[in-house]
Amino acid sequence: MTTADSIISIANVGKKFGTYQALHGIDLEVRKGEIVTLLGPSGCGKTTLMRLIAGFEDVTSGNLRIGGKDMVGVPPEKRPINMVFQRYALFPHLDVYENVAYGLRVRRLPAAEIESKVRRMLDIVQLSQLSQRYINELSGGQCQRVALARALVNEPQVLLMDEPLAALDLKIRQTMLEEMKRIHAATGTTFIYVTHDQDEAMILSDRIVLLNKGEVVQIDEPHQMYAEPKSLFAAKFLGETNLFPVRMVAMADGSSGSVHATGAVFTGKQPQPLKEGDSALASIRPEALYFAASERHRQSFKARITDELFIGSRSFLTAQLTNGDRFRIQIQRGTACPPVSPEAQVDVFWSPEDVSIYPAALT
Amino acid sequence: MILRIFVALVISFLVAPLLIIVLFSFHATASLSFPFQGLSLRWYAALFEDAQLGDAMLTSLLVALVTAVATLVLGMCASLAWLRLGGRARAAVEAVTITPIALPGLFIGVSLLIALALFQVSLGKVTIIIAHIVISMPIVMIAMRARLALFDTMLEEASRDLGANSLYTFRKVTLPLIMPTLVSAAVLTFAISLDEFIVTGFVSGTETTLPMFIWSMMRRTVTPMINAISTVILIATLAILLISSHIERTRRAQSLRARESE
Repeated sequence: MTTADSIISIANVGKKFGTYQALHGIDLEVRKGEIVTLLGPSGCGKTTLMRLIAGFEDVTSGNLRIGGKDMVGVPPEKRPINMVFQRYALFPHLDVYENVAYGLRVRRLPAAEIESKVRRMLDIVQLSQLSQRYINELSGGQCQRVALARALVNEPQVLLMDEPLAALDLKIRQTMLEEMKRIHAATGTTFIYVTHDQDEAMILSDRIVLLNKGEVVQIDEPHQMYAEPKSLFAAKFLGETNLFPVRMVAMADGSSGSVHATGAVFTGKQPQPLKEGDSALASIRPEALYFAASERHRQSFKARITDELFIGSRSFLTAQLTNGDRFRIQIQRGTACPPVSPEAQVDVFWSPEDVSIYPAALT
Repeated sequence: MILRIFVALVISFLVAPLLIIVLFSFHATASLSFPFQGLSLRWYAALFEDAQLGDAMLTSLLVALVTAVATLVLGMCASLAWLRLGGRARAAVEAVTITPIALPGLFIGVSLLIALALFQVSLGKVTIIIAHIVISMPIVMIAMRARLALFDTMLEEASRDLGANSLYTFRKVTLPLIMPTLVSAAVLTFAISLDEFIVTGFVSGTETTLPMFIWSMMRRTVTPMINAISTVILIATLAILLISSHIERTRRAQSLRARESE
């Protein structure tokens, strides 16, 4: 990657709390103007990584540069960064206007400049009408927008957001995500967004940084990461997938494939090294399974449909293989599909392009 | 309905004695019981003529004021430091600062007297103030502990993230948030100091505070002057509360006006 347009450069960063190694060997370049999501389960180190960038924690090892400057020993108030805190951390003794004006008052800008900047920012987040409200008089979504405005009014080079939507309900979350994309487009600020929610990450991000147990698992664009997870963890964490226990075998044409207990054969991508005889897991997403063969969808097995879960635009069918293994098939509403019947066997087809085979977890 | 009667009873139980004292402070005769025999300001006049009483009152007010301010500053610093301690140190500091509330006044009085003698401090206003700080410190600490338990240290981080240093953060975020608690703790401390009697008796030397004066007066004869003194104190206390809440309101109005003119 070129470093010319890099705004944050993290090289081999580690962080220890006492004897606990929270992060190790983190490498990450963030480009100007992009939205990068730090995604992972709780305890994966994503919040720690963000607090390192914000300056609330110091790196134990490695190198952290922002805008080309080494950030070791630079306190949070001296970094060209602002943050949206998880529970917003808005000042309850100040009203909306004063919350947003806080950072500008700290910098002792002229009163007229503060006024115009705050007004403009309140317009962007559509809160002009509520400027005299106190924080406890606002809804969750409004608090969220105040927090965004309070950070963005300072025109930071980078905006950090720590699970900013976690406290909101589903409907508002959708709206806020669109809102954030709009605000990102309007300001052009680099966003670093921390979340454990894969949907938020995929909707919002230019790139996703997937973390697990203090390490970077994969960095990719959302489409790429969803289509080609490089590890079992990534496949399971991002979206839903079916995993079939298989054993690695040599195929007739000499390539490497795998076979399931029912005799079904899976060939596909093998992002991690596997050798003949290894036990492995073949991963296929529910929406990659079909009831009709085609030139692409040429591999198949027999299954019985035991249940249907209807959720409007689509349905999830629960299916069972002849050895009892269960899996899920997702179909769009209106697609022809066999009826739910514990007796009748149907053929299920897929494309080897949609299969990834991973080493079976040791645990 | 039953609940309402209950509430009315509790309130009248609390307020009735106050009203009776206020009423009888305006009584025309020295009688302290009904029937009421006419209104007069004679007991208030008597108050202002009694030089000794005036001295005692001034001493008490001065002591209470200094005690309130000193306890406030000490208590605020101690509790903010306490907030930043971890684990055992936190529990230890908590125990040490809060325990005095459970100790009998006699014990505190005797031990203070011994300590003061040890350091050869002569008894007087200063020793009374020291004693009152010892007594009121736990009150401030308990009030602050309750407030700080709800204090989101994330707010201080947010302030620093927005470019403010520690001092600015303290002035603009921490202090305004704990101010209501501090003010009410100070008012409470003032009230405690004003009527503290037991410990004061040990360390007062030749000084006389208002409660001590009233006590010695009562030993001779019960006079309606006591009602008048109590009423004056009651009004003064209410005035302090009203003034402090009024200040808060005007400040808010001022800051809104200041912004309009920006």
